[in-house]
Amino acid sequence: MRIKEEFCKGCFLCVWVCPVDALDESDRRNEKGYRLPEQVGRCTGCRQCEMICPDVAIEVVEADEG
Amino acid sequence: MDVEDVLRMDRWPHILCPGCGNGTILNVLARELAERFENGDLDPDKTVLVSGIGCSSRLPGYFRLDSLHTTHGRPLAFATGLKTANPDLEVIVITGDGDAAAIGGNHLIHAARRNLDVTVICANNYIYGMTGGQVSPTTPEGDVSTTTPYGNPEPPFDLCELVMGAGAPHVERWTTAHPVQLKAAIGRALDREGFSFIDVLSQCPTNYGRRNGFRDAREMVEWLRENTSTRDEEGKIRIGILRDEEREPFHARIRKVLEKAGGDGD
Repeated sequence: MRIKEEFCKGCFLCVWVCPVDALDESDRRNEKGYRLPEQVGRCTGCRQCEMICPDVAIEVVEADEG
Repeated sequence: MDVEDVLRMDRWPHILCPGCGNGTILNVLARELAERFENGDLDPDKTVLVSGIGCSSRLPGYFRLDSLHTTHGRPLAFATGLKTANPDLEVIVITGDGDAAAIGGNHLIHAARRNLDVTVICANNYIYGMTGGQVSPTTPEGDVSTTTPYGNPEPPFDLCELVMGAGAPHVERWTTAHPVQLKAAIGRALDREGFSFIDVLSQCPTNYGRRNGFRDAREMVEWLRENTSTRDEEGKIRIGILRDEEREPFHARIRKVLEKAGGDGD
């Protein structure tokens, strides 16, 4: 999962929508001061976070095997 | 084609507030269009976005497509001219509850009655967000806005019932808590010939939520998910496909009139 930190506004709808709790709030902030989400668990690739993000700041990428 | 090829990413981050439902609508619309441009279902040079005034009406400016940002309440009036003069265009109207149902209410019902072949995406966030949170035609009874500080005394419009009453053949209602279903609904609306209306219940955390007991956008989408149902359930707002029929669109009827009048239809 790739979070485009410069676009994030810290609304955490991604954390809300994730059905497997793979995302959580972090204490890190971006340049504008918005708190960022972080990946904390295994992503199943449902892409709901990618679609709900109001700032189009999440890209779900397939991990390389191994 | 990637979503970033459809959007003007040089304008990012966009103007919308943190957690704004319009952003989710922008996101899913961009993804649906990117897929269709990629597989050839739609031609980007023949796809036009039309909007009126309001937060939702800012969305077309973020797309790498031809767009019309028109006067308040009049996106459907402009879209009528656009589609009738050039039926080859795929016309998508992005509007809000204030734009579509208040100042643009007459354009909405007549576009539905005529069966104008456009896709209307109505970001229904119950409030005039851009101008500071005034009551709108869809603000629920009793809710607080800057112009109804003691609670809204008026019953709200059900926009889907309104356009179905006016004859709209394809009507759906979803929410920003259902991005996957919303994307599919936009796809169906683009496939249908005729007036397609999608009422998207959306959140305005800045000017509606904070005055009505919601602490943030997450609480608002949680409310939207918990208080809506795809079945008729007591106390819940009905979402899903509310009507899916076919009827001859306006531009086809107008062509017939032109032929009858002796022209070649162009």
